[in-house]
Amino acid sequence: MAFLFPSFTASSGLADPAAGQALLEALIAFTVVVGALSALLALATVALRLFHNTREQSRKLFRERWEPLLFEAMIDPPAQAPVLSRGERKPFLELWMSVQSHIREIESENLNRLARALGLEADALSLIRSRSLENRLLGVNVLATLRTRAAWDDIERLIHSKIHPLALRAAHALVRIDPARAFPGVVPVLRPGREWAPVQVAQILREGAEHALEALSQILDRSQPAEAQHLIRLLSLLHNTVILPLLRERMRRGTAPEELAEILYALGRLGGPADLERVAGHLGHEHWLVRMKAAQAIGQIGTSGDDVRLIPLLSDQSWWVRYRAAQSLMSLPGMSDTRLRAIREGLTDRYGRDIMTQVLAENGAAA
Amino acid sequence: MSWQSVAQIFLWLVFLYVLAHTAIHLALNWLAWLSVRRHRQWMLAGGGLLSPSGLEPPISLIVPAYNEEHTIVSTVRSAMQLAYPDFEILVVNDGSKDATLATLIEAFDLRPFPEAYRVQIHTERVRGLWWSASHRNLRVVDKENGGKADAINAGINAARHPLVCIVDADSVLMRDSLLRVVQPFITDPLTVACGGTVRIANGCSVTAGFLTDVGLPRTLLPLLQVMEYMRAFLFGRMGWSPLNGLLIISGAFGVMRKSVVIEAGGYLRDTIGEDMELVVRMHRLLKQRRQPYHITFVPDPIVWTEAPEDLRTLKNQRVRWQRGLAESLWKNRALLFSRRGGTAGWLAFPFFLLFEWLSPVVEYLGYLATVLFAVFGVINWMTALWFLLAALAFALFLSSFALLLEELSYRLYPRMSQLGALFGALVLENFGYRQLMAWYRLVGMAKWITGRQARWGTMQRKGAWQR
Repeated sequence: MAFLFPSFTASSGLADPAAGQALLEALIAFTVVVGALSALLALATVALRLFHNTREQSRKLFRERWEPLLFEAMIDPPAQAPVLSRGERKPFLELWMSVQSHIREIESENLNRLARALGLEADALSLIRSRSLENRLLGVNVLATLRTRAAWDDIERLIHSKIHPLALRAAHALVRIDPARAFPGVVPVLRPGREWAPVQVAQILREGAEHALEALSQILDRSQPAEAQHLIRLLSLLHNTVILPLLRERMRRGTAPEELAEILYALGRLGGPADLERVAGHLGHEHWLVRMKAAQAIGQIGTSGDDVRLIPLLSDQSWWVRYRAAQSLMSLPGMSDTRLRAIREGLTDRYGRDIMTQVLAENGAAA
Repeated sequence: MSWQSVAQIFLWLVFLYVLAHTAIHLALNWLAWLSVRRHRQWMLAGGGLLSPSGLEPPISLIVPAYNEEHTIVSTVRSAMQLAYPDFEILVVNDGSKDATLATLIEAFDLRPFPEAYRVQIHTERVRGLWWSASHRNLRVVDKENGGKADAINAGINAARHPLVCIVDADSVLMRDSLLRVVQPFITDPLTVACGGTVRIANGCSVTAGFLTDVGLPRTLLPLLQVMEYMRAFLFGRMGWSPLNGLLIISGAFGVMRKSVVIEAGGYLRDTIGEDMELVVRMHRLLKQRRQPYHITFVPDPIVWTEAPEDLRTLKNQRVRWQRGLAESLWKNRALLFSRRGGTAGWLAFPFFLLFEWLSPVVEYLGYLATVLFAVFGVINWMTALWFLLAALAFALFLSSFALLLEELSYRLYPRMSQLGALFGALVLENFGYRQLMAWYRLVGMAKWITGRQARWGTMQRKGAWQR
């Protein structure tokens, strides 16, 4: 022991014995504390690994026992529901949810019947009231799949959660249960932020964005340009023309260039001849992004006579505007190689000729 | 002042240094844990559904290549299989002396292309651009030799998309690497750069350029590096991300906003650590301009790299890293304690200076002085021994913490035997390996001070895990 704790038996040998002793004691204290902490951390790591392995093993056994019953129930729900012990109910819900995520609607309905017969809605409700995020997510997902209206208030509370992913899950659950009732309330959760999950937001909007136009308009009013840009992009990806009046109205009121560019992109994808003049009006916009998206949209909704609108953009100071204008020229109805080459030869601007040469080469139509 | 007094002051200073280092690492590990937990909550709730949402900005993947005739085709083929909605691959042939260009021309049916090439960053002369007739998203920039940074700059000039991703020709990616690393750009418009966690590929199975199975290296040297990467490059640096103080995005795989890179002047040619230097410069310039921004980090393992398996290659790598660190800090010293420096200038920069750059000096001075003081009787052997034990406890603590965080988060090595091997490495690295790495870093410092020329880093790679 004297070797291990020399501070009690020997001086450090330093000039000032008190300071030397203090240093030695500090060294020993540091080493012992930090060493003990290291040992504790190592033990905790091993304990966690053992716990994890044991849990995985019991899950595997549970799956082997109950999965056949679930597969049978997908086709033919049992007349008498099996009996689950208290400890089996949560693992059963996990397994039930995991199977649900891989099957068709008709099979899902049979599994829903089984879950109701087993009284699993009550278990899911108690899960969403627990503190564990994992449990709450499981509960929300189960109740959304079962479309349990009785859980509305509990789920609605979760859309105000500080854990944004949980709030989004809850929003999705409400929309699945009753889109018309849910949408106005859940739209604020869809606003982009640091923990935003665009795939989930798109899934939510896909459930019935038509119920949310007014609320979305208000959200767009309060969003930063980049956020509005994201939301409009997601809306345009729904291929749902119901959003066109909203976009046209925002364009009429005038918005930030980033949002305007996204609206032009959406009009190009979803709009039609009625939007042509509206789009063409932005070909001379001061921001290059807006000019570029307008040129791109003309390529999608323009007519054969719109080449005259695009040719001046081939000399634009922005490479991207020139590039998109050249590409759009190619996609106009009735455009031929001969006409494209004639346009190139007629250009006096070197940059315009270069970009036409490049785009012709890209399309395999180079002279 | 007597020798005893000098020894007393010196030993107290070293001890306080170790104490401060421990405290800062604890704080960083804690922050790293919080951000991993947050990220995992987000993933658990479906935020990380790795299917494209339609919001993914298009990316230009830049692969600089110098004398890569044997590997470049498989590198490009694996890049082509990345799961991402819209990306182009730009290989920059930096005046290779071998048949890199000819190999690419043959493999991908390249044709000369009349590109309207924009010079936004000055580079060595571009001889021509090639475009693949069989793969429309592949182009090759053929240029005269100018070094890796110059090659990347030429790639940035030719890039068409707003984000550029720089990939080392020998990096092992995962199919969803791009989807993962781009998420911060979608959720946070202020993101200007994002790096991914780099892990060690030795011992893993790699098929067609992608990682298919995670394993541990079978030899000691790379195994020790697994532990080192986990401690220093994963949790040690991840902690800086939430503070916006991340000074390094690995050159093996990182995505940057092209406009910001161009405004910063691109990669510097006369530095060996061009990846870190650019990130520190971006911090400095954006802070100066008072432009809000985030430089961030995705904790998921998304890129795997081969660790050196022989000491000579390892030495070259570490010497290069230390020189790169010194150059990056020196060239951007104006960031240190600058009025608008924020976390990067007031916390991260001093940390890297004191605890990354200077640490091999302190470590060796500590060892040498302790032994010499004991030999000459300035201190007794017991004090010397406890000093060395304190250094050992400190190292064990950092590694144990890292291993616990790994267990709580990714658990990449699931078997008990693998955990045992990592514990073995955790202890063993303290008896020779750590001291050797510190020595290599001292050599790197010396080379930086004597100012020897930078050049393309070459590494002896085995690639035995590739199929």
